[in-house]
Amino acid sequence: MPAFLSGPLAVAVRVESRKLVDTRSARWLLLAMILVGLTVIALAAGLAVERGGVLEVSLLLMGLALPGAIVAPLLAILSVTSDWQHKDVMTFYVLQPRRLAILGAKYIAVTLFATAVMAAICLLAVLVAVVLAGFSSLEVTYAGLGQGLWYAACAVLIGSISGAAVASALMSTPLAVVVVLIQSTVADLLIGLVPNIPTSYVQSSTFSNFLSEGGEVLPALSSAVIWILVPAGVGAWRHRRRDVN
Amino acid sequence: MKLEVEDISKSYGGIQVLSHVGFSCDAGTIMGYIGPNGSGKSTTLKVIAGLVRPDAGRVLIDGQPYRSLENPGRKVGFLLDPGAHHPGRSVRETVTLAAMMMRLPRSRVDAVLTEVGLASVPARKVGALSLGMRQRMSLAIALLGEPEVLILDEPANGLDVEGMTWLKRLLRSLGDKGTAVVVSSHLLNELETYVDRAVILDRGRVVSDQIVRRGAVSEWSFVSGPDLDEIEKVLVAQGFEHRRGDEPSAGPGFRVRRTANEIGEAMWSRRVRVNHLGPAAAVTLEARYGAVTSPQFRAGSIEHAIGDGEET
Repeated sequence: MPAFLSGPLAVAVRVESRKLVDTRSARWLLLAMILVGLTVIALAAGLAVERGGVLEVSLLLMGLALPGAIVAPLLAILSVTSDWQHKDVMTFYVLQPRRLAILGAKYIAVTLFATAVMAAICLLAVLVAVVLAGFSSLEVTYAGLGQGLWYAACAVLIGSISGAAVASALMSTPLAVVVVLIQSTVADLLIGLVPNIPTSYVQSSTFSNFLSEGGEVLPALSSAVIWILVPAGVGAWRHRRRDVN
Repeated sequence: MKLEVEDISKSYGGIQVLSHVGFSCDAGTIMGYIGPNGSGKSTTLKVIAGLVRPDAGRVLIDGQPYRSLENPGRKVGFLLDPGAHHPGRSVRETVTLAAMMMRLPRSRVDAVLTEVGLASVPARKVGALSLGMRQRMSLAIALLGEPEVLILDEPANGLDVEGMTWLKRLLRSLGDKGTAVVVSSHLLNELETYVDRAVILDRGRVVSDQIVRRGAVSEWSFVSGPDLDEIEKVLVAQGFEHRRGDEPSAGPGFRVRRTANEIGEAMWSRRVRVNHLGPAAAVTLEARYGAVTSPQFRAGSIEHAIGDGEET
């Protein structure tokens, strides 16, 4: 086996990947992600068939970003906080005292896993579109397919990383879930209501919008620092320093 | 392999939990680590595991800090809290994850589950295990890497009589094979039957470090002198089984599994000076514990230990 695959980080990534699916709660979350994805595909295809119109695959894929944006952060939160919640850190931090290697492995495992699941759902969506094109009167267009895939990928990537960052800073499953839900639903709206501040610099969606659609660099960087880098830094510091009692 | 705990201090919110705690445990020694509830035993073991950062002092495993050990699970095994495992995972999965971290083959998981008596319940969820079975599973993880140092916090909690006998034999056989074992427990009478040394902690301080008499009184003698290194050289040269430690009436020296005459002749033949030589004192661990720990903690803790054996 090559050295980089048997090193401490690679070993930790394999362990963390396995932990994402080896408990009932993790499997339910995965199932939820798949079910929401399938529902989006079925709804989009059903509506298009009913109206006898055009099914744009790129729009379908953008729709799939929704389950990715919701479930990926939850998966990340569960991965980062579960060890503390169940005191599993007492086993894993003893076997790998370099705690940041384990935290880093969690980021990598969640991101890879969520991306792989989303890729599978996207592939299924394209297959559904191909079948509909062949067996119905529906017109299926593939224009902007790459853009749609990129949009879904960004949603999953940013959702995973920001979810893991917030969870690592808060080190509490319920608190992290509440913060991430507020962040992804009402936080940007509330920030938009505050007068006399450059809202795009502060809103969490600025960075994801920049990645998926382009835009100004500075507000995107500011958004990434506030919602990802700062929580990730705080989380790394807390994980490294916190006593396990 | 040797464990050295050097001058560890730790406080939480201004309360001193550990104060200049120090001891060492050599290869082949089983050391009991005992003290009243809240005396700092578990905190010490967590400091050794790198889970708690000491304010001062250090821990060395074979001369190296724990953090710098390559694949530490293969060198040091820990049982710290049998409840510290995800309740939704199966027994086999929990041990397999630890084996993956240690880069061990899956066959080792089966072997260690058989060794601790859990081979018949690999698919059972951890949350459905009794305390005794969780102890066995935690012990399986500690033994997985066949470590040379073993640190166990209250390993007998929840074990039935048969389980305790099994544990005792297991630890004794590991000690005889050269493993350094530190075991914390409230069950003093049990400990006394298999440990070589007992370090007693009281309110965060080491108040006693003594050799424990395992054999009959007549089998052991105690020898001390101005130059302990010279005495030990003679004991080693003669092949006499011995343990270093304190004797209440004589201070530091060696407990030797020989008669005083045999030891005396050996020392005389090498012209090594001794100032105390005689039968080893028959001080029970419980008596020693009673003599050195604080009364306000002792009464409650012993009663508690007899009641359910829990640790705070």
